[in-house]
Amino acid sequence: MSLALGQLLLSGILIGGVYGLISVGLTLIFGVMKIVNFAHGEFLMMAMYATYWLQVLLGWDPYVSLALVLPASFLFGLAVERLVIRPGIGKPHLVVVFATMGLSVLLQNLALFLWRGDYRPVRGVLGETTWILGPFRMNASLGVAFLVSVGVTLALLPWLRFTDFGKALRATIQNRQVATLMGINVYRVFGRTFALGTALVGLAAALIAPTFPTYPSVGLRFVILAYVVVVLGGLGSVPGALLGGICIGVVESLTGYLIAPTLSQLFSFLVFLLVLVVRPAGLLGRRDAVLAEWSR
Amino acid sequence: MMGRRRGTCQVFLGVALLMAFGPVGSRAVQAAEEARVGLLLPLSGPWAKFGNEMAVAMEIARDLVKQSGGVQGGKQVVYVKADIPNPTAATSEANRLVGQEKLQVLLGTFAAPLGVAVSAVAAKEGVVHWEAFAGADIITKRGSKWIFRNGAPSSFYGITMVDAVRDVVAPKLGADLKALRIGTLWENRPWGSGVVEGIRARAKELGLPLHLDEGYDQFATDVTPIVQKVKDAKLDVLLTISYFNDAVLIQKKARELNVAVKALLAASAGYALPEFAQTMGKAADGILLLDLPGRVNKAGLLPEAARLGETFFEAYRQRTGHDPAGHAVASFTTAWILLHDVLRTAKGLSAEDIRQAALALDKPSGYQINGWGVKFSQFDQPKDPKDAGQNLRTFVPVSQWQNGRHVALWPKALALGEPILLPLPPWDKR
Repeated sequence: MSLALGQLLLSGILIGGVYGLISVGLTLIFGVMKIVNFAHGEFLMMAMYATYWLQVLLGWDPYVSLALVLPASFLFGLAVERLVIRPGIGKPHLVVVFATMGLSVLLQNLALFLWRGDYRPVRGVLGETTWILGPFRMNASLGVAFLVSVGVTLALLPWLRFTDFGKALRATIQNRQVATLMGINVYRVFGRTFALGTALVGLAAALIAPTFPTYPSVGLRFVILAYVVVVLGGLGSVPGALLGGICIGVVESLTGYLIAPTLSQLFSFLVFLLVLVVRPAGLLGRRDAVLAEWSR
Repeated sequence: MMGRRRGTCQVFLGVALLMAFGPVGSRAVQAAEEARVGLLLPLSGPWAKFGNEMAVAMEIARDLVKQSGGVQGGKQVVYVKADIPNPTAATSEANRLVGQEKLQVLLGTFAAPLGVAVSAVAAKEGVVHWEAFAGADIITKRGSKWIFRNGAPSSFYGITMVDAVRDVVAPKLGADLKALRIGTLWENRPWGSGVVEGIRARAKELGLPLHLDEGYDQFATDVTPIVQKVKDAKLDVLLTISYFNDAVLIQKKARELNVAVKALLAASAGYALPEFAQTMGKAADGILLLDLPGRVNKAGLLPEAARLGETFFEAYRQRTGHDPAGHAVASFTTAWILLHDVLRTAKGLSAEDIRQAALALDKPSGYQINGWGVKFSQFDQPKDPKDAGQNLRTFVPVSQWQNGRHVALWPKALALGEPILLPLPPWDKR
C-alpha cells in the first residue's frame, strides 16, 4: 500500500510538473496583461503539430525540434499579440476574451482542416524508457519534462528579479499606470511577455509530444487545468505555477486511487476552491498587487 | 435626393424579396429531384477523426447509389450535413434539420451521447433516426417506432466480451474459466458504462466474479491511479473499454509500472484504431478487440456483398490513403442499407414510408459487407417489449492485433486466422 502511494505521489509530482510547464506561460500573460488567453491550449496544439511535422518531414527528435519550435512560437506569440490582443487592450475585458476565444476556434478548425482529426504519435529519443528509482518507476520523457519545468522556474526567477526587462515586467504586474509613469513602455512589455508565454508553451509542447498524441483538440485536455493551476498558484507567479501544477497533479493522483478515478478532477477543483477561500490571491500570489490591479 | 433614397429602397426590397422567396422557389424545384437526408456527425471536436472518416464512407455510399440510378426512380440523394461535436449541438442541429430543413430522416451519429441526443429529437418529432452504431441501449428502447440502429447496442459488446473469455481466451490459455481473475476498466460515459452493464450481467449469469470493476474519465491526463488498481487486483484477464488517448496512456503506464495481464480484451474505439498500433508498435500485438467488423472473410458474405465491399474498400483507400477501420465500414453499410435498400424501394419519402420499407427488410447474415444481415425489431422481443428498431442480425466480432493488423478470429465463418500471444508476453518481450 505504502509503495503504491509512493508511486502515485511520484507520478502526481511528475505530471504536476507538466501542468506547471504548460501554465507558466499563461500565468505570465495573465499576470502582466490581465487577460485570459483562451487560445493557450491551441498554442500548445500548434507547437505539438510543429514537433510532429519536424519529425515526419526532417526526422528530428522532439528535443532537437525545440531549436525551431521555440523561436517560431516566440514569433507567433509576437504576431498574435500585435494583431489580435493589442487592439483589445484598454477595452472592456470581454473584447479580449472573445478575440482569444475566436482565435482558439480558428486554430482548432484550421488544424482540423489541414491535418484532419487523426491522432499523430511522436517518438522521442527516450522512447518508452522507464527510469527505476528503488521500488519506484517513472517514464523518462515525463521525468525530463519535470526537470525542465523546475529548471525553467529556477531560471525565470533571477531573470525576472535582476534583468531590466524582468524588472519592467514585475513593475507592470504590480501597477500598470505607475509603471508607465516610471517610463516603462508597457506595450513593449506586453508584446514580449505574450511572446515569452507562447514560447514557453511551445517548450511544453515539444516535451510532452512523445507522451500525449497530437490532435486538433489536444489543447483542451490541458488548458482547463492550466487555468486552475494559474489561479491556484497566484496570478503572475512563476513558482506558483509550478507549485499549483504539482498540487493539482498530486491531488488527482492520490484521490484517483484512494477514492475513485472518476472523482479525481472533482477533488482538484475542491482543493482549488478551498485555497481560494483561505488565500484569495492563490498560493504564492501577492494579494495587494494583483487583486488591486485586477479589480481596476 | 428623394429619388436616390427611393432607388436604394427598391434595391433593398428586391434583395429582401429574392432572399425571402428565391431560395424557397429553387428549393421546391430541387426537392422534386432530390431525396434529402440529414447527416449528423462529429466533424469537429475530440471525435472529429471518427466523424470525418464516417462522412467519407457515407459519401461513398451516396455516390455509388447515384451511379446506380439514385432512389425513388431517379432522385439524387443529397446529404444536409450538420456538425455535432457534443450532445448539445446534436440536439440543436437535429431540431434544425427537422424544423427548418423539413427533413424526414436523420443519419449518423458515432458516439453514444450523440445518438441518445438525436434519437430523442427523432422520437419527439416523428422522423426517422437511422443510426449506424452509437451504442447506448436506450436508443432503441425508448418505445419509439422511428429509430433504427444497424450496429449492436453497447451491452451486447459486454456480453460478447465475457463470451470471448470463455470461448477464445480460456481454452487458449488452457485455464479453467472460473479460476481466471477477471476485471474490467471502463470509461465512464454512456459508451463505457453501457458495455460494462453487459459485462456484469453476463459474468453474473456465468457465475464469474469481477475482481476489478472501475470506471474512469477518458480525458484524464494521469492514469497512474487506475493502472495501479489493475496491478493491485492481480488480474489474469482485463476487459477494457477506452477511447484512443486513454487507451494509449493506459498501455504506456502499464509498461512503465510493469503491470501485465495474460489477456487483454478491448471493446471498440481506441484500441482498434490503426494509430494505436502505430503508437504502441509491437506491444499492440496479442490484444483482442471487440469492434465493429472491418475486413472479414469474403467466404462468409453473399457474393453481391463481397463485390460491394471490394468497391467500397478501393474507393475509401483512394479518398483517404488508408484502409477503412470498422467504424468506417459500418458507416458505409448503414448508409448503403438506408439509401439502396430502404429509400430506393419505399413508397415515398415520408417518415412513415421509410419506416415501413425498413421493417419489410429481411436479409440473412452476410448480406452487408461486414457480415451483418438486416432484420429490425419492432416491439416484438419477449425479453424486452419496448425494443424497436434494433437490427437483430448484427454481431460483434472478435479480432486480434497481429503484426500490426486486425485479424478476425470469431465468428468462425468470417475468421481470417487463429489467436496468438495468449498469454501476452511480459513487457520486456513486447
